Amino acid sequence: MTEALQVAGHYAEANTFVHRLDPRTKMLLMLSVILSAFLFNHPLFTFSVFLFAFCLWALSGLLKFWKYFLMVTAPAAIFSVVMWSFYFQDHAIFTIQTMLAPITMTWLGVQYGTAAGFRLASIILGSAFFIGTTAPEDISLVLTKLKVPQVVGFLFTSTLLTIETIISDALTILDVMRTRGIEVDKGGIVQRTKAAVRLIVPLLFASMKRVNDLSIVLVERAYDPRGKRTFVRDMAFRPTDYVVMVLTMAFLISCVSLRLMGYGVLVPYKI
Amino acid sequence: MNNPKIDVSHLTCNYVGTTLPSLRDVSFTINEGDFAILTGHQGSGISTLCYCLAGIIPSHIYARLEGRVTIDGRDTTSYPTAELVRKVAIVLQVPENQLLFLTVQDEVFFGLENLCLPREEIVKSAEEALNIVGLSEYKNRPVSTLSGGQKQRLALAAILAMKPEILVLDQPVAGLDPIGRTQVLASVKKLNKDHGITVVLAEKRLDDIVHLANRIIVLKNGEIVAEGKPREVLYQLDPGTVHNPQVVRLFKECSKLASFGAARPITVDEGLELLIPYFEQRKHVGTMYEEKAEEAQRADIVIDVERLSYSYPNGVQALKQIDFEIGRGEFVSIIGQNGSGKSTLAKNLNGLLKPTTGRVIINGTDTRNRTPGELAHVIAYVFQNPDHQILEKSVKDEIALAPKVAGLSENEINKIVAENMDRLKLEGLDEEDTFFLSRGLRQRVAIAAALSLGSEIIVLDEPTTGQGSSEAEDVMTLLKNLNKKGYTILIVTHDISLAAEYASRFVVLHEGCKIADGPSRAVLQETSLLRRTFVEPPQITRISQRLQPYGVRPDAVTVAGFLNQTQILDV
Repeated sequence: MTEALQVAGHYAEANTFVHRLDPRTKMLLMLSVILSAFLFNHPLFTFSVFLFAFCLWALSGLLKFWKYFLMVTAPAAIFSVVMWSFYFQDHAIFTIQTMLAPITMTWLGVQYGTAAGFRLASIILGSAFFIGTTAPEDISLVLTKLKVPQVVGFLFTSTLLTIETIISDALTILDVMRTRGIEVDKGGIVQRTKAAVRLIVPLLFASMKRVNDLSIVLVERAYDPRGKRTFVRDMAFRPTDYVVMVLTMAFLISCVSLRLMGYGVLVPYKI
Repeated sequence: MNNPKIDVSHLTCNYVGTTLPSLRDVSFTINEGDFAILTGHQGSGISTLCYCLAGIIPSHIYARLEGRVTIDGRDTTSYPTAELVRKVAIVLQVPENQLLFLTVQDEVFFGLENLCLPREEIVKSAEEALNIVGLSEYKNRPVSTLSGGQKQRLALAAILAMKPEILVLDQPVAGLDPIGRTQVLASVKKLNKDHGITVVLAEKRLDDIVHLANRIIVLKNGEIVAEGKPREVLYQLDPGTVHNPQVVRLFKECSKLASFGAARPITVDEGLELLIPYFEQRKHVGTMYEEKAEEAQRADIVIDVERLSYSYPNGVQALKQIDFEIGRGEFVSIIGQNGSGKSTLAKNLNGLLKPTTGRVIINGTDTRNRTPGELAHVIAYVFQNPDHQILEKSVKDEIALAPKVAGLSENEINKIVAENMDRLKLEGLDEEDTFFLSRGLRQRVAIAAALSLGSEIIVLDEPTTGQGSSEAEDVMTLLKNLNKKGYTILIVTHDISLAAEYASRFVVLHEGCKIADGPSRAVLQETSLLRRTFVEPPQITRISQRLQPYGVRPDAVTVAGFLNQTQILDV
């Protein structure tokens, strides 16, 4: 799971058509996936959005990470389906009698939960597509171009890069635990939680030294969170960016229009 | 160039929450263009002094300071940050902690971007800096693909691009392999000699550094105990104050001999200039004394590695057809540069990694059929960084953890804790908070915890990296004592001098292949083979090899052994 998170939040350098797009174009694509996922709550429509996100992801050469993607998304999507299935009052599929009250699984709940599951998967894929194809430095730059204070962009970038190091530390500590007979990948949820808790203190301890060094490095590189900064990297739209942006806008407008016409709504007045 | 560049006057530094000062009444001056070494054992205060020189203390790390540090006559605290970083810059010990960006070029651009320089100037300065450290051709490479030495040179370039006048380096080569160490030191030397940058370099091991400097400042418990020209200081100091290079230790022993007069060599070549004429005159070296080489005991094989190959999931083949056996009670060192496959091999021994092909048999058990936890009962594994290995709050709980998980009774656990505390000389520290122990003590706790399941084979990954010489020798002596009690010891290291003194056998890896395996003294004679792995034999071995035409055995690994063999002192 730790490895899956590491891969999911990682920039995968490659020379695909998507990698070559301007970071702003990629950001628009990501936002279009997230927005359209929230426009609909019908499973067929959220599935369509998911397919769109999946195509982007596949075009980015990230398909080789499918196993890790599944490890991150599948539990979240299944949890969503299960939870929502018992939420609505509708035609019952079955009812479970509990100590407190009966809980009923409904067909409407299953459909809504499925829609929410695809929405969640689309958001994860859309974000993974953006992070996986855009160098952290470009993310920082795009945020600055959008007039976001440079410190926000820098924090975002450094967090992405630091997470990777922290996960690498976590993997080493997990290896230490394995050599002491603590099986972190086995046992029930209580046993796994206990093992995970044991990870926290050494991880914090190892990270503290790193954070201390990083703060010195920032001072040494004259970084001022409130000050200005120039960027050597620059961005420029190319003809393909304009084409992709037009297509993305067309996709987004179509989604909004469909929603306004009442399509893609399973439960009205609910996201 | 005798203009004072740095002036430290009566500097005392106390970290918050500590009673003893880290620096006490420290005063010295460093001139423009100097190359000064700060040295001392663990806790001597050299890192704190580096932070004070770079103005990090008190501006960014809070500590109570008395006295002052001035650069070009001005107090460091009075400089605005942007101005100070162009006067004095610091490079830290761990390269990975200093790199923030994805590509080499972006890393160097960052500081210049923060100074809001024009783009053309940034690109030009970055190219110059990368050129000085020899990384120009790597400018578009991802930082993650660089070796440790290259990463440290990149950290150096990122600082250099900002054109500081003084460079402070806090143990920049302590964690690097021999080639990384050589590369970084060559860059630093170039900066001082060719670019006139004033260098202050903190380092505990002096063998390959001392000849670069014109000044040395020795600290002990926060106080300066010696200061001056390296040649004079190293020969004046009491034994044990610093880790003297072997050549200095040798000539200190020979100082009473008229043949060498008042000569004070600090490099192998300087030493040989004196020794060769001496041995030319001496017809007879003496009895052919042999340093006692311990015979390998291979009767009872405890580690059997058969045609082991290992490939990582990304396809990188880290080990190729490795074969060797280790007998009970052997003390073996696996040596090679970073990336040679040493750590991958060690992780295949304890089951953290399973062979892609071939097999590893530990005490008759195939590792493929056991989890690392099960194998921990027969083979203990100590990781490189003690910070990653301390899982419990007290020393006692840390040692008791694995037996507790294994389901042993309270009585058995108490017995194991007591035995291991005694074995690792941790008596009286039962309830000490593990996170506040020194690095050396945490390392010992980690070894005790690894041994708590009763295994008599112990594998240690880089047990001395990042430690001072006295701490490193403590760890090795402790391992030697365990070895004498019958434990089989296998260390992964690139510190060949230390390994040569303690291990009786070397297994040398290069690019995933085993290229040598044999008694350590015999392997040290394979100089061309070792050169392929960028490993250089210890100073005293190189001296004895060069003196072989004069009847000296070429395989000395300690100064005492060399003196005994040649009987110089008896003449």
